[in-house]
Amino acid sequence: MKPMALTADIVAAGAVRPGPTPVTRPSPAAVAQGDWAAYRLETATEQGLALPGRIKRMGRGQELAIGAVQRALDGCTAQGIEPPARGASTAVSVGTAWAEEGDEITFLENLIKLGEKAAKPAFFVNSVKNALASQLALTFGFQGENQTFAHDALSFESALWQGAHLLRAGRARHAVVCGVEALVAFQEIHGHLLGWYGTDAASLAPLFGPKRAAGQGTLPGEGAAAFILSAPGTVASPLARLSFVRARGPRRRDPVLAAAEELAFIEQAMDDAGVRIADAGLMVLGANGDPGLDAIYAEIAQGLATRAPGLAVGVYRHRTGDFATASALGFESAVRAVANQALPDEMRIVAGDLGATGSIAHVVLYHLSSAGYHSVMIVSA
Amino acid sequence: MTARPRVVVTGMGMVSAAGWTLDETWAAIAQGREGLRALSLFESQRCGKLPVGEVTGDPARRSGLASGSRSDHFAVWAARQAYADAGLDAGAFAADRGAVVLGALTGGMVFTEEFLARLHLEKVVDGRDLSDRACCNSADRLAELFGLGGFRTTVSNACASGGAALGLGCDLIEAGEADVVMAGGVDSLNRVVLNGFNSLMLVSTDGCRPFDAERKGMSVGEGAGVMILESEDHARARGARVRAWLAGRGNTCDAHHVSAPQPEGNGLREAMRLALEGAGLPPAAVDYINAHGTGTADNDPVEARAICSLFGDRLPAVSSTKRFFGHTLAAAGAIEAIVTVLALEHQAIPPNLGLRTVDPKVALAPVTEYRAAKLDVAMSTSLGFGGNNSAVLFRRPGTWETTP
Repeated sequence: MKPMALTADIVAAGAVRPGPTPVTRPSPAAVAQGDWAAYRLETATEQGLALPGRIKRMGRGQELAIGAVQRALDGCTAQGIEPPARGASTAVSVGTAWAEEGDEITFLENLIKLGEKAAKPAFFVNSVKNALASQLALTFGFQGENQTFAHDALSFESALWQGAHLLRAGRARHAVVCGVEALVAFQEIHGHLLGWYGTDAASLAPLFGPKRAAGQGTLPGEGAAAFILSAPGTVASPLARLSFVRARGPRRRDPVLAAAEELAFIEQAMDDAGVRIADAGLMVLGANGDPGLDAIYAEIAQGLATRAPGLAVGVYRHRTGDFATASALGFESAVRAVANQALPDEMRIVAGDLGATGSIAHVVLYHLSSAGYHSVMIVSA
Repeated sequence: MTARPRVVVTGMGMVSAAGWTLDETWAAIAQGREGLRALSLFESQRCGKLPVGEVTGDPARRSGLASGSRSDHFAVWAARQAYADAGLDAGAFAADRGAVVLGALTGGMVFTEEFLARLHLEKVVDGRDLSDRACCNSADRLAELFGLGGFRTTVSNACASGGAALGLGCDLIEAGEADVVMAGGVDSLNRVVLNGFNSLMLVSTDGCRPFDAERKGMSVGEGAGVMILESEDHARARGARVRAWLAGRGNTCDAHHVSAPQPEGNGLREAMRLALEGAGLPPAAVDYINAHGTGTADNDPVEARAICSLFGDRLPAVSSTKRFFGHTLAAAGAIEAIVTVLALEHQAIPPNLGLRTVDPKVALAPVTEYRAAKLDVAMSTSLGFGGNNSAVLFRRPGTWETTP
């Protein structure tokens, strides 16, 4: 049995993004490694987040997710589109690798430093990974299927697939799909110790501009993007259409990444989607400024250029930093690219010519992580 | 329009405090032998004397993995059993048609804990790889070991994760995304979970007594349950034995409270109704419900209300098997789904261990003794923090071939 076509209308989208340049903060006292840089929202108010009121204590990830969904709902209002209803007809599908890890770590640190008497229930409840999805349900009254996917760089893609599938199967009228990650100190400590992250506060320049030195790594980031999906044809003028999503894991631990294999993965996906590379309009890569990973992405970009000369290739992680569900922010940019038929400010063309095909019929997003997770998502006009 | 393919169970594997295999587990159930015992895995000043569903023995020896978390070992061991039980081999399916969906919450939390302890107590910054801490690591292990190159994900819907993972496995087969899905759930005991539930005053000091008037709370457990799901056509084509038909499932969210269930059990009732609707069966067709039945003050009456309101005066037999292995969190939905299928196979109802006097707020009469019964259709339910509910419904082979 062949996979059934998976499409959905993207009715509205919203995002909460970090500022355009990394912020510098002293590393935690426990490690004392000087200043670290990250794409991080320093305060919610700084980003204009209007939270619908704190029901109880919420963690950072919950605030980001609620902010993104609220913006998507505001988008429905602005377009005069009926927003998703409270109740069972609206499903919630969230992709988040680390959810409220900040609260989980706080809970653990209290146990370690102060003893078990210091175990705080609120931190424990928030530490459960579906705290974000359930908080969305609580805040907005969505009682449909409620799923949380926590699988590294496959998390958002899993959520997107599930959201679209629920519509296809007639199990929801709307699906609210969200990709979110909150950057907390522990992740920075971990990433720096393993050499994933650099300390240079200059913005990342994936596949363009001055390359970071070998071993400099990428920079961590955070943010959230949310999408209101409905079944195809149920809205007169959706922003865009989800026409394909495929995400896969590595075949082995510590994989050796090979551009040729990745190009074959992309070609197979596009073939299955029925979209020719030459017709893509815009190919968006998840290059993140890490010299090792960017080298693979560069080879892939070259390979794509030989298959479709002039194909516009864009990147976006110079404005988000790197995190497991950053692909959700790339996807949100892609939706706006298709909706507005123009390159969003936060995207940058690194090869080819956006005007070559005359319009942005499809945006093909390709992501590859250092662990070998890879995905193709297609947003169409 | 093409009919939805039937999703069948062709293999099962599990590990819990009740045993390392299906046979050991069912023997414990048939003999009414509880699995709760004193915690020995780690020292705990406040929780050390609480009965827990701790798995004894060396999980690494069972899994054969050289590294990984306790959860990884459990998941791999359960998967090895399920894979063998299904009679699968490398040629049974194309790699990209094999998928894995695992429910998981805590993964290798102990690695994070060890790292933080060194950092804060010894002032040692230890740069060792913490990648095995991620809860998705177990699913990755299964994909690598069993050549599952297709869809892969980890569902983290609190204590309803296992049931939700089985439901997503059905989705993948029905959507034509996969021919074979390894689906289930896993979790292992750790300080965060035990102290977390204890801080909420949800843990019983004398072991869980689901639905009992004097129950004092839950007992935390650990383990893994894995099912092999296939379309019936795929299973028949390769001559596989069909253990059950996963005929319906339902997932809902209460949107009521971050940790407490909706008092009337509306969300759970809807999840069960959806499972029945998917199976095309009326409530009266259900012979047995393996209830979530944690033994907490909130859960049990809510679950009873949900069951009573859906099934009315034709209540099926009900029991909670939590005292056999504790509440295994993300694994619970999968382990208890397996127990439900075993009940269909053995034509017997597992007892609700620990129940002496039914809570007056529970309008059920849970089965307290292992007993034979004619079972064709059975359901397993799960509830989780955040108001997540799941229900999965199984039918016994031989009961649907003649169904119009």
